[in-house]
This record gives sequence, C-alpha cells and structure tokens, in this order.
Amino acid sequence: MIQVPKQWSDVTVEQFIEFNGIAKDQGAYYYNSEALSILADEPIEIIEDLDVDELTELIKENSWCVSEPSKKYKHELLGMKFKPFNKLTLYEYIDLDYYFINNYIGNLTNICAICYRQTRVNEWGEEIMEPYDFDCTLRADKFLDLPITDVYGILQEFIKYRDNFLKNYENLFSGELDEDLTDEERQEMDPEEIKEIEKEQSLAKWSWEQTIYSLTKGDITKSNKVGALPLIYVFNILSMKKELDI
Amino acid sequence: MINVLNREIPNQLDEITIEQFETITEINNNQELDPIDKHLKVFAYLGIPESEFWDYDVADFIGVVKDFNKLEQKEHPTVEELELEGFTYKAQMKLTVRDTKMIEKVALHKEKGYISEMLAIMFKREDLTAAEHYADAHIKYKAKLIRKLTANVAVPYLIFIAEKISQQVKNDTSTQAVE
Repeated sequence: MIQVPKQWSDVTVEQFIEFNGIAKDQGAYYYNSEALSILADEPIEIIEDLDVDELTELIKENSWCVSEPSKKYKHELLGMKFKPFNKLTLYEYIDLDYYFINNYIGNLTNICAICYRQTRVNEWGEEIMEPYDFDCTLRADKFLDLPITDVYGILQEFIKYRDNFLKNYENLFSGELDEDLTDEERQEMDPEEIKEIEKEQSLAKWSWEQTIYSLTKGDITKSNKVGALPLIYVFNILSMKKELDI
Repeated sequence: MINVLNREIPNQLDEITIEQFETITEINNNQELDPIDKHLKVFAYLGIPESEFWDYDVADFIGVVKDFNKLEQKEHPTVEELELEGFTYKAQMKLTVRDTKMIEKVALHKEKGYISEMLAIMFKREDLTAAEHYADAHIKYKAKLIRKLTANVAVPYLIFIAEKISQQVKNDTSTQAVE
C-alpha cells in the first residue's frame, strides 16, 4: 500500500528539492511517477510496477501538490533564530543573492543555513547572533529533514526584500549580466561598440568583487571586515560616494 | 487491395504491414507536402512510380485516392499472442506505469517506427526478466520483427493506449513547477 503525504507539511525539505528537480519535458507519466516516488518515499521500481490506472488514481487523490506550499516560515528552528533580512551583512547578502540567482530551490538548504543562526546573550543581556564566518554548505544538511512548510516562505520573503533593495539602490546597479555576443551580432557591430559591451559585461561579472575592492581601496586583507558590515550601511556609503563623486 | 494502373496495392489494415503503415503515416504527417504530393509519395512507396501519374487525369486521381482511403468497416480482434522467430510474446490490455512511461517516451521522441515500438513494449516474453524485457536493444529487435506483421494487429492496442492517455489528459493532474 503506497502511503502518500496528505499535505505539504508532511513533505520534507529534501523531498521538496528532489520533487522540484524532476524534469518537466519527459512527459506526464514520467513526471507523475517520479513525483509519486519522491512524495511517497518509495523506490521508482515500486511505482513503475503499478497499473497505470492506479497511478492516475493516486495522482488524482493527491492533487494538493499542484499548489505551492504555504508562504509562511518559522522564526526559530533547530535551536537557531531567523536573521531578519534588514540585518544582513554584505557577505550574507552576496551569498544569498548567488543562491537565489542560481536555482533557489536547489539551494534552499544553503539559504536556510545563512538565514537561521545560533544566538547567545552577551554581557549586556542582549541577544546577539553568531557571525557569518562558517561555511553554510556544511550546515545545510541539518535542514533536509524539516517540513518544507517550516522554511518555504523564506524564498518569497527574500525575493520581496531583494526587489525592494535593488529598487532602492538602482543607481548602484548597472543591470543584469547580458549573454555573450553571438558571431552574427558581432558582425553587425563596429569594433568600438563590441569593446564597450564586453567592458560592461566584464564589469557586471565582477561587480561584487569590484565593490569590495573599491571599499577596501584595493587592500584585500580588509575584505572580510567590509563583508561583515551591515548591507544597508555599505550601500548607503556607496550611494553617498556616488552622489558626492568621492 | 485496390487496383491502380493495373497493379494491386494494399490499402486495408489487414493487408498493409505495420512498417508500411508507419511509413504512410510519416508521409501523411509531412507538413511540407501538399495533399497530392502526399498521395503520390504513398503510391510510389507502395510500388507505383510518380511518373506513371503524370498523364493521369486529376479527377481520376482523386477517385483513386478516395478508393485508397476507403477502409472496410470490420472488427479487428485483439491478438494476445505472437509467435516471432520461435518465441512466444504475450500482451494484455493492461499497462504498467513503466510500460506507459516508455510508450510516452517513444511517442514524444520517435517520429518514425513508434507503433512497432509501442507494441514491442506491450508484448512480453514470459521467460524474460523485466530488465531484459525493457532493455533498449531487446525492444528495438522485437519492434523490427513486429514491423513485418499486418497493421490490424496494432489497432486494438493503439485504441487502448489512446484511451489511457486521453484519460490522463482529462484528469491532467500532472504537477506544475513550483516557482
């Protein structure tokens, strides 16, 4: 008897990541059998031995998984606390930004490892969060067995925060990194134009490194200090520098 | 069979082979050919060169096409057992998820020869393991043998597969990307 979860809260983060990674161009039966295998936590061979009508029936009974999980998230998990996005440091934001741009579902546990932090009370009785000087990928596995509904909402929350952040500091961002020029495009442009585009692409590619390099005035031994500064503070300074042209 | 230019050409499902049926279907699905070209190619494939129709009256040609496309209304009993090169292959009107996934893959990716491969998936040798049965080389080999059978063998299975797939499309509960 195949037991399928009844709701997203019965599905783990690991299952959800796997579920989201199913190829969507291999046909409906491929998709549905893989989905069922992941959600029911049964080997694919067991699902493949079912009569196709049984699969259809099971998929019909479990149509809840067509919808998205709840967009809420827990503020405390595994003895750690959620770090509000407006308190992020530059390095934390850079890493989150990278994980979001490069398959945020696949990187969900890395994202969680950055967002949930250990805390302690300092000598002044204030709760402080651990600094971001650990490798988030080593901590990521801790989140795999949690229900997806504990953390899924972080994604939307960060996307909202990121959009707002990019809007607030749009004068500091030079736009998205374009694709490389094709041979046909090159043929239609003059060499100066090509040089200019390539320079822009190169600047965009190294934008974060360039920001840090400029803030440390080329002294890369100070990079970690700059990276640990609050994101908003860094961007306010960058805005000021740009406005005053200093 | 119909008589065209003093030659007998097969046009009924129990007269043409699955291979011929697949080729005719492929010609008919060719979007680059107009209806007349399609039929000229079909007749050429069945043994009447295009050049023999060059002096043919258009109205007569249309008549030939109509006769060729006229299928006799008859039952196509389900063949559940095939004897091919000394082995017995059995099929039932039943599909496992694995069968269906493979059939779906064939239907999605194979432009020619998908009917014989679909049948090759459904007809199984009882002495083989699942791994042996579903092995790509075995399916291809069996499809090659099945291609020589008459197309009427395929009809009940094609109807059955189409019904199953349309049921899936009707339910259409395949999960969407959660983005």
